[in-house]
Amino acid sequence: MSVRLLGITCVLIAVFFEAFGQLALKRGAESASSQGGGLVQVGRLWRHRIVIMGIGCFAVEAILWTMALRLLDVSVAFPAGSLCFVFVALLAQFYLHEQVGRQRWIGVGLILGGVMLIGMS
Amino acid sequence: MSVSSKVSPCYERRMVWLGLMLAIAMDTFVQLCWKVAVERIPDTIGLWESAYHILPDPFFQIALLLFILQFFNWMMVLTRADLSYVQPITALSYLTVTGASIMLFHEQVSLLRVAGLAMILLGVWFISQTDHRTDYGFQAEDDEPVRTEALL
Repeated sequence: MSVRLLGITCVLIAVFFEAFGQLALKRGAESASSQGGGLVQVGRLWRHRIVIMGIGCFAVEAILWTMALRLLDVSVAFPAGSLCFVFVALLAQFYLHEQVGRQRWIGVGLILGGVMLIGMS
Repeated sequence: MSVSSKVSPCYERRMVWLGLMLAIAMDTFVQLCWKVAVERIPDTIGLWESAYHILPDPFFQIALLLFILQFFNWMMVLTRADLSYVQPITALSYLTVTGASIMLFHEQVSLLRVAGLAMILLGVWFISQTDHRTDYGFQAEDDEPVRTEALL
């Protein structure tokens, strides 16, 4: 496997972990606040396994991202990493049943394009 | 029904944006502190020696502390709004980091980068025009704990 391919694989797996980490934290936040309204009860957060799983996802992501940046140029890693915005929106729609809708998708698309341009600059 | 539905939606929205601004500000500081800390590491040394150099660095410690505060702030934001609403909006930190880099490190910014930042800004504007929270209604709210268990 070429270095470039290995690097891109690292980024894609990192994106995957980022999106699932966000999903887990969202679930955890909802569980920890279900009786308290808008406020998260900090002490209760740790009782939810899903919060710990979310933090674990971010730890794995950080390692993968560091590896990717050693293998790849930022101009490749950055645009590839921006896919995480699409992935989060997809997971939010199908897993959390959020109404993403056309307007949010347009927004996500523009942000994706913007990050790609920054990566190329 | 959740308790939060008794509070006015306008107040909720303002709290979401307050949380988002805090998140973006902290993210910016984390990245700047991180950069300063990493640049202080001598170039030639290996991974373990880098860790040895970076751990006592006050900039690294500030970054770490902000990182922890960031987590709690983000959990608060997530209780109030859709993930697909707040997560893309955090892309605004590309703007603040670029702005800070120009001011602090006198970095040059290309036209392509400006175009990219403008696109991000436009994208965030589109998302900000949508409702910050999906209205699941009674039915979906009853399903919620079941789905959480399934994911665990």
